[in-house]
Amino acid sequence: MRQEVEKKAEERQDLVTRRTILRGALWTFAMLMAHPIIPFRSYVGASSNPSQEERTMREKSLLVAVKGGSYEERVDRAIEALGGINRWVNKGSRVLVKPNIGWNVPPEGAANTHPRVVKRIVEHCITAGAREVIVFDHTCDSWQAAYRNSGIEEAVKSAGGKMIPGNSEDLYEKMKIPRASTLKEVKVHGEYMNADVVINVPILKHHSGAGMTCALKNLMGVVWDRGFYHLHGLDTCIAEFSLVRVPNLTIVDAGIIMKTGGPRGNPKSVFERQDMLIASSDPVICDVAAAFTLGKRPEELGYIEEAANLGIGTNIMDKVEVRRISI
Amino acid sequence: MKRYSPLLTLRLFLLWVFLLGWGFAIYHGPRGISNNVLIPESFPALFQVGPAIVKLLLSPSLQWGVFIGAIALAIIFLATAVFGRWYCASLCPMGVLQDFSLRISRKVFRNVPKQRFYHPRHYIPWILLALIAYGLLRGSSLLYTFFEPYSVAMRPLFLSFEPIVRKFAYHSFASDFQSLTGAILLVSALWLLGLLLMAAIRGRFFCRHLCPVGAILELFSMNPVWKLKINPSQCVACRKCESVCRASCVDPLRYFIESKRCILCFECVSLCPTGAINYLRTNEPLLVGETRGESEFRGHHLVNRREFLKSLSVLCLSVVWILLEPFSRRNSKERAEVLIGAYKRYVAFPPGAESLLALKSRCVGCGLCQIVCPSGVIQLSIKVQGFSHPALPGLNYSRGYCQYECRRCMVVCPTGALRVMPLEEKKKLKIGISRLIRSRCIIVRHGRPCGACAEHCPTGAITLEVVSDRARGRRRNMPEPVIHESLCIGCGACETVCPAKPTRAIYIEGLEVQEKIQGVSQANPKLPGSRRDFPF
Repeated sequence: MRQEVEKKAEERQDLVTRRTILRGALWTFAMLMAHPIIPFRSYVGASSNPSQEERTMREKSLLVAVKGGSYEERVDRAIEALGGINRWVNKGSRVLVKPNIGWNVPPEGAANTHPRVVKRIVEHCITAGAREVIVFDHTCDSWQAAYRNSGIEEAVKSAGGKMIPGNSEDLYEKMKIPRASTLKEVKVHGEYMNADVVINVPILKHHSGAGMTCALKNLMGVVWDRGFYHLHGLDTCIAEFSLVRVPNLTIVDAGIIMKTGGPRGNPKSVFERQDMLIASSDPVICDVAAAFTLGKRPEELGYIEEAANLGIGTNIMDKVEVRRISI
Repeated sequence: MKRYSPLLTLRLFLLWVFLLGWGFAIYHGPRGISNNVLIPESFPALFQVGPAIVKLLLSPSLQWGVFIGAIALAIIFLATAVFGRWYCASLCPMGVLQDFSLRISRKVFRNVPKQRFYHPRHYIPWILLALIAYGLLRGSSLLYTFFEPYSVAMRPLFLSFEPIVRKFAYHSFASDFQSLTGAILLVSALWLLGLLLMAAIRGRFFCRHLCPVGAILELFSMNPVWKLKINPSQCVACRKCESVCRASCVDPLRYFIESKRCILCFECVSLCPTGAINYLRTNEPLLVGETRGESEFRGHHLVNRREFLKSLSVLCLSVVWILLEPFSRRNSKERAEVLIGAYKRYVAFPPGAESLLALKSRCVGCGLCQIVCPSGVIQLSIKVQGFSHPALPGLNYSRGYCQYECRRCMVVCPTGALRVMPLEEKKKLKIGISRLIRSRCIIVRHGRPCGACAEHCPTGAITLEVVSDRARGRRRNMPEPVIHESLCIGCGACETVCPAKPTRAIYIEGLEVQEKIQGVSQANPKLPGSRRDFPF
């Protein structure tokens, strides 16, 4: 009796059943997808070699500027005007929100993105069904202190996001940028490359070295060796870094802006209340709008033009649809 | 045949709470980094007798930390006078390490030599204590570094665990070997290992022969209210208690346990086959019909008058010797210049040190400031002051820079060598001056707009300005760094981030005497709003 059962089982194993075929197909598919030559992470191919069509598609973008109201209201209105966060964040996607947390300075110091802005954005992402919302910055000051005292750690945690460290070299991956002239190789934080959606949330402020820090400059916070930038020319490196990956969405906090003494701010810094928020999927036009807000001309800032020439975005206001919202 | 002793359990409980609590505090400290709150890492170190005495005696001004130290000392001394030297078996890190060492050796080797009771030589610790105090007043912590139990035990641990803490608790790890603490870690670790090896063979060797803190605690535990006693009617003279006593203080042949050396490990209590050893009130008679006088007499053959007078006279002499020291002190500024060599004057010291001389006389080189420093800029090094003060903390700006909104090193310092001051005051404390080597600067040399130094400067002491080039007699268009010395606090952010290679173009010259920068007037706190609606 028992032998018969075993024999039958053996025979069944030799048979090519539907199940075996399906299983084999599944394995083949999985092996193929796991192979490094398959561009499984589609963005790597797309963003490092963007075709002109794709660029123009993106360039027909929208610039939203919201003035007045509270931090949360501005974020809500801007995202609404852009067509809702669902345009970028799908159900189950991993979202990286990258604010500026460079300094161990309280929110009043306007050196870091305001925690209320970050919190609202994280909440939007989670409402849209994001699987995980992660937040980090490669801080200048000691990172735990900066995370905590900027108020961002608490804001992110209460909104359901996750703070991760960014100050250890082993978190960074080496990336090659073939199109770059100076920044040919750069160590980028792994999460910046792996996240499905990147939302860049800079704060607008004066910067002693680069003139102004906003959308493009904020991406220096996902790079390991910033000394290289300083050594080989800030403007070129800042512009060329975006060839690695352009953030899907840029939301600029211009609530209180630091007019002098940036980026850290010192006891003599001058601040100005703007109560503004600028948002677009194009970081370059965000920087142009930000430059006007700070009282500078975009031509003064070398990296804006260089980035536009590389096709990362446009620096011409007329090419985009500007939607101004006053609350 | 082991007897369950609740006292042994209590001691082990205290010990593990202390050890695990401290480890937890150091590991979890970075998560609690805040601009102005209490720091958990500092609490265990507060209850160390050696640093607390230094804090109490050598602090220049009455500050909050001194009161805390005084209260901690009072608690420990009072408890020692009542219960005996429980501190040595549960709160002293050196004692705990020696116990571990002995325990391991007893587990591994069968024939660890048995302990034997012997007559103590009390003078060595006292002479050491006097020399240590004298050395600290002369600005040398050499003896303290190698003979004070807290310093001896914790420095190698702090320094060798620092990379692990940096890696796992701070998630930032300076991977280059230059930043590792070198010679002082090696020497301290070898010394500690040697002492632990002795402990593995001979029990608490360090405590019996060398420990100056033990010498002080002996004074308080000569006649405690409770102590361990052998009941002669139950003792069978098996001498198990003697052979196991790590302090060599049990004399079963005379039914005597010397309370001033007994560290209350309670090992003998749990090992005694007849239960003859018990923790009892000192003036409680043991034998039926025995008078109090008789029970005291048994112990008096060691704590006799002559021996007490000898110890007392050594103590008095050393106190007089120490107290005379300030009168022989010359101008402090003068000495500081004599004591530091040419290359050493560039080293800056942690904030709150006040002056090189003050730091040298109060710092015991335990390394706690190094392990709690969030940026890792503080580093003990023999290079800072040489052999007179082998473990003096200096600021190594290649590891990081002194954080503007941080005063953790001041708060944790167990000896008060770094004076605690409000954060607002610390932000105006000048510990060094920034110096620019113009020819190395990237802006001057390569003509590229760098400005990393000005970017990181927290006080606005470095600005980028167009200056006239005197050598060429014309103005350059590129703005370059200009240092405003009156605003510079010497935090070293500029030096750390300067990307010039191979050597940085900007460096900090440490100050011998830390000073206040001239009051920075706050800018207009009102926030002017912009008139225009949308500027684009």
